[in-house]
Amino acid sequence: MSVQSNIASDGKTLNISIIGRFDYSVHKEFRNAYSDHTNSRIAFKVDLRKAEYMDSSALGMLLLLKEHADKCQGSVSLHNPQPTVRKVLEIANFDRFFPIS
Amino acid sequence: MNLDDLLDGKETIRKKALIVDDDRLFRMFLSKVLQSHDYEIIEAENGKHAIEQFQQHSPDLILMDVEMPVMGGIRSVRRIKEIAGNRFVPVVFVTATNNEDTLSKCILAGGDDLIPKPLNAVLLRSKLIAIERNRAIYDEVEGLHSRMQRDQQIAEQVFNKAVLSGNIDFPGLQSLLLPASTFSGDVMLTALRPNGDLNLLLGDFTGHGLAASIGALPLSETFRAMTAKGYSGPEILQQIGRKLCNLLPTGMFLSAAYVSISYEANTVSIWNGGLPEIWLLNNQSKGIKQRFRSNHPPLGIFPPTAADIQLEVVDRMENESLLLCSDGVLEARNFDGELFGDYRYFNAVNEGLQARDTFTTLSQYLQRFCDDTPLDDDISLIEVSCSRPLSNNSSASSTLNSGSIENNQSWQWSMTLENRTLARVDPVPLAINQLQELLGSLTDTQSIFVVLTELYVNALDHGVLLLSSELKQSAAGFAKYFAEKEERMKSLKNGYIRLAMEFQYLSDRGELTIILEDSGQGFDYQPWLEQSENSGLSGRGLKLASSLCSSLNFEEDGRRVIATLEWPQ
Repeated sequence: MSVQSNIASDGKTLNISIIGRFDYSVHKEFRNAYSDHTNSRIAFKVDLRKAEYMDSSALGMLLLLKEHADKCQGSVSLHNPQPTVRKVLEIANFDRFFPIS
Repeated sequence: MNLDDLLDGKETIRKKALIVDDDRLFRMFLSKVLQSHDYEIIEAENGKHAIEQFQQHSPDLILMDVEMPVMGGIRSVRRIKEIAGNRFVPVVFVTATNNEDTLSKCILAGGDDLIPKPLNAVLLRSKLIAIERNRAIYDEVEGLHSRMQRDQQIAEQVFNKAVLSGNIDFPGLQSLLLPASTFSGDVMLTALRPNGDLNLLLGDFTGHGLAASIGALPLSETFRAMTAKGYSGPEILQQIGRKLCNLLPTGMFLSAAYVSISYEANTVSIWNGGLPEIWLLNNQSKGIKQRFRSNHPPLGIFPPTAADIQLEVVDRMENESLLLCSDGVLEARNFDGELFGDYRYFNAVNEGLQARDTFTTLSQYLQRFCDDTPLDDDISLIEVSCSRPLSNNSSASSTLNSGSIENNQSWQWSMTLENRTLARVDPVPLAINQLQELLGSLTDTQSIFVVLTELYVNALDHGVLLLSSELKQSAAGFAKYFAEKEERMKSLKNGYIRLAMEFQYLSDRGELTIILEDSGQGFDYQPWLEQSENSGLSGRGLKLASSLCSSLNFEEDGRRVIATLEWPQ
């Protein structure tokens, strides 16, 4: 599995981890990870520690997640991007849409 | 031939089966079974004969013995499959052997199925049904594939006409555009503003292929129409951003870079939203002079406001050029899966600068690196020279078409921009748009554009914003001047500019009067009227405007300017 997810016991946080390439090949897995979670004010935390590579379709997938989160007044945050992934996020100026830590 | 016809045709033609066996009695027995399935029968007595029969009759099914004199079945099938290419020609080996090695060779040679001797007629019939089922699926796939190719060809033609053929032939521009599939998600657009400025846009839509390239149609239309009307970079980019935001689904967007080279103002304006760094190269000192990082998210995610689109302005230098690329260049992979990467890119550019031909060196380097490895992403590489193109006769042309003006036309048009509107709206494109509407086929609006622009900029900069033209005395001062202008525009609260145009048709000629009034304190216009030809950089704009007008006069201490253009002159 290149996308792993687990929901916190209170149901308010969904952690999604990407492992390996973050591109179009994982788009179904990525969508499946969050699409059933519609709790109000849910926080989606995307862990990029193990993401080796990220392309523009992955950026698009993050925007889709944001759209989903906005519908349930939730939030999306990105965590632990490695240098190559961080660079892609920087070039796209995605810090304007997501808090990155 | 069209595949649809072929498919329809097949229904009415009886299928042919080629039976290959050195045993005549066995061939007869097989023939009986196949004839009852409505096959027309062709026979061959060895593998060599089978190849000849195949070439002559193109059968739809082959039943092949393994061991025969002259040429065996396995060699024969290998050759037949080569000849058949993509055509669906199922081969069933009929063999008495149980030797696993031989059986596997049959399949490797291109056999689709095996049936044991002695022959069981029921088993053969069920295999024939299975083969026909496969044929139906194969034909359907073939049909879909050819339809897809046909659709792509049509789309490609439309795409090329709408997007690519609109580009101008600009001598200082070199580009390498390699799509990863028929369609590129990358798009390069070039167009000239009415005053001869070059506008260039390099865009990279998410993904590649047809779905990615579809956004290029509205993009190119907006870019060209607005450039032709004389809009400036921020307005064009804002409009593109708004449009794409409406059109593109969430998750799809356009990373883009925009460059505008102005030969009148001697500036180069650069904007980067989501593409790798744009490099300004100095070809004399052979170095990378400046890098322009992406400072904005890609377009199409949210509608940008005027404040979002900030262009960086530098002085235009004859021996400099700009280098742009899409991320497909840095992420191109070679046969071993290595990335081209920043390091190789940097080295190739440096090597190219030394060789005085950055573009050729870099693109050869890149193509050698990728060799024939299929591309993951579209590749675009552009170098555009900042030097004034030799064939550029744009701004000085003052001939106006006369033949197209109708008799007895006359009209007046005016608009007044006040306070904050002044910082938001450029009235020149609006005025040009009106002129094109009102004067119809009058093709050359170039001179009018230049006059309008110069007078408007003069009224805004020196009238309303009270900027001193002394800053523009040196080339280096230009950038400072623009920075100061930007600051003052931001804090602009009061002021107005009124622009009026009057057109009259007088028995044998047309006359256009342009009146611009501003709320400033006026300015001392005597010096520039008396200036000699080579007296520095300031005042050039007014002199240029004046050379295109039949008369140009200031009133109210310089707060009002009245310019008249006539044609034929």
